[in-house]
Amino acid sequence: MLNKLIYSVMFILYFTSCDKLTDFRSSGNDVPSGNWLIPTNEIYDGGPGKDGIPALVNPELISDKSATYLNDEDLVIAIKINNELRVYPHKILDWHEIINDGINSVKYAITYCPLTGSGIAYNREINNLETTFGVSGLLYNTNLIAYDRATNSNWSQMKLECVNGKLIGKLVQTFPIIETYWKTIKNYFTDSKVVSLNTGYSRNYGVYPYGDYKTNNSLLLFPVSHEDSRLPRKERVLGVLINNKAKAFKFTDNTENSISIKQSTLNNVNFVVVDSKKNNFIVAYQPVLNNGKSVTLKSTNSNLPVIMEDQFNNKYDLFGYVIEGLDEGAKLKTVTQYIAYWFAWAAFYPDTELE
Amino acid sequence: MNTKLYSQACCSAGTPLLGSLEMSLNTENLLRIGLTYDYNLLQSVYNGTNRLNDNTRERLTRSLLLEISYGFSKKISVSLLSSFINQNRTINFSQQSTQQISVNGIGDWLLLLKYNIKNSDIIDQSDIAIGFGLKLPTGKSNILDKGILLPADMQPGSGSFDYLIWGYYSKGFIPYLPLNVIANVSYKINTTHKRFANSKLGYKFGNETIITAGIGYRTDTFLDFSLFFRLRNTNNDVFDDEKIPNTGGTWFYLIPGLNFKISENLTSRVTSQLPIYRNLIGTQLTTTYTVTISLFHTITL
Repeated sequence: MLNKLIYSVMFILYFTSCDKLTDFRSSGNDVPSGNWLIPTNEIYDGGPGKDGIPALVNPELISDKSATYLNDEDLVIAIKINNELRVYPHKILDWHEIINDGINSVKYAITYCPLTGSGIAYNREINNLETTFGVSGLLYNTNLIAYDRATNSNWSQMKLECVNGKLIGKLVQTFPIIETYWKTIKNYFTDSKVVSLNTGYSRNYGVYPYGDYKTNNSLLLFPVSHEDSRLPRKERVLGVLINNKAKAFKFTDNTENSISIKQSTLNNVNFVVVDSKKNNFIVAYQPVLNNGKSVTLKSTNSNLPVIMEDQFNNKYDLFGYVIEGLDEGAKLKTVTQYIAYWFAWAAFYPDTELE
Repeated sequence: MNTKLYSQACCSAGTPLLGSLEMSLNTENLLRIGLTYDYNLLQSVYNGTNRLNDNTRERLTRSLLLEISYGFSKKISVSLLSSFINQNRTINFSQQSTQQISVNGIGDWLLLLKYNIKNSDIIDQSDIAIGFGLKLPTGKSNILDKGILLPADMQPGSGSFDYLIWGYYSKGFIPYLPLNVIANVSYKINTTHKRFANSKLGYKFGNETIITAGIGYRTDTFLDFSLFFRLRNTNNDVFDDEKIPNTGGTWFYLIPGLNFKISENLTSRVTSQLPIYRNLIGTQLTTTYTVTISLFHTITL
């Protein structure tokens, strides 16, 4: 009798079983479904799952003097709005990928994908509704797909676009940021606020979570749709986007403490690219102030934090603000831009120019 | 099984094929059928040897394994191990948000040919055997969720043909002691499979070594006891010939067990695998404990 029972169980299990997938969601969020603007066979589940990499919301901030956990050459993302400067270290972003924050009425999410090296500040106000962003756990071209909690729509970080959900096709509004060494911020900008290690999560923030990924040009964790061998895969470039045209800029190869300024044009829009390998920054600005005044940007003999000046003797800091001169307080117009690993930029923008 | 947690990448698939292989030799003309239920709960997050205080994620692998073994002669026997797998991934991001996904499917099959180098006799109660095996990719490894490929560790199968080298040693001490000392070594050599359509060389799970040693203690009652130590090591997974971070590591387990003699040809076993040391490469979600319940039926042909 017992033997019959055993064999019956085996028979039922092995000859009626089939591959089956079940989703359970108790968050009120819909399961991502419907149309995607990107090929679904090029989207991968990275493993951790939705919110498995927990985004931060309104993180605890500490003064720059208290940020002793940072080393001089740690990379950070800095955002300056009015006179407030906030710093988001890669050491934390590597583990959380998204930090939802805001300065006064400006609500933004610092999104950072460690696999593509791309840091972008997303506006958290979409259609006049404030939201927060989370990590979907999905990747496209090995790059972060974020989701907004208001509509559960999915956003391709480097594509700057909602690719699935209620807001499909909507472009994101970005805020200008600077990615640079901690020492560049610490030495030339006082009173910045830095995200604390007290995030509410237990993570090994002192350890980069991806081994030699940053420096190993052979290693990708997921495939990409297009490869371009003009530069090593993991070289950091500044990508500029103007009306669907893309151009990437390498750091200027100088060994001195000099700042390089390149004049460039994309889609009939003129801008300058300012960079310093020593201080590890690269940023693009249009030669127009937010008061409408056109300027001619040129190199300067002044030291940092001044990075360039114009014909009116206005001196500009890293964030494009006039910090000395006739138009003090004014700010240069920017262009849509972010730093990313070359392989990722080329995968998203295969027709990109390279300078 | 180990599961990558905080960084985006793949990890070891959860089918406990190697650890579930029955650690015994097959008697000539004896057919042995075993049905095993394996419950593997992963709630522990480790970075190297350090446990991190995090309980946002949980993985649960439940496997049903069917092992059929037959001894063709005193020297040669064969085992076939098949599996049915249920994988669960749960994320508790907040009190308001729980995400869970569950995948069922037939897993991979393992075929193992064993050769007894030395059989136990009255003078020398020791057995030595070696074996060579082939793991067949019978389980699905391309299950999609809304058209999106699930990660490798959520798939019932690994997608690759893998090879197994197996070794066994047992020593008895009757009439002095009613126990056996048993040691078992398994080494699985994994091959590459084309997980991603547009990758060059494909994905390969890290090779796996398992060394198990301990004692089986017999009583005159229906109940026997066993206690084993297990060392498990897996290499990094590899994608396009490059090592994947946050995969692989070393585990040391304690495995206590109870064996029940239900009848002359029917036995049952309950074991638990308790990790006592872990040293993981990078940060991973890893086994908190496993519980295994087995039923064995033998038939003389």
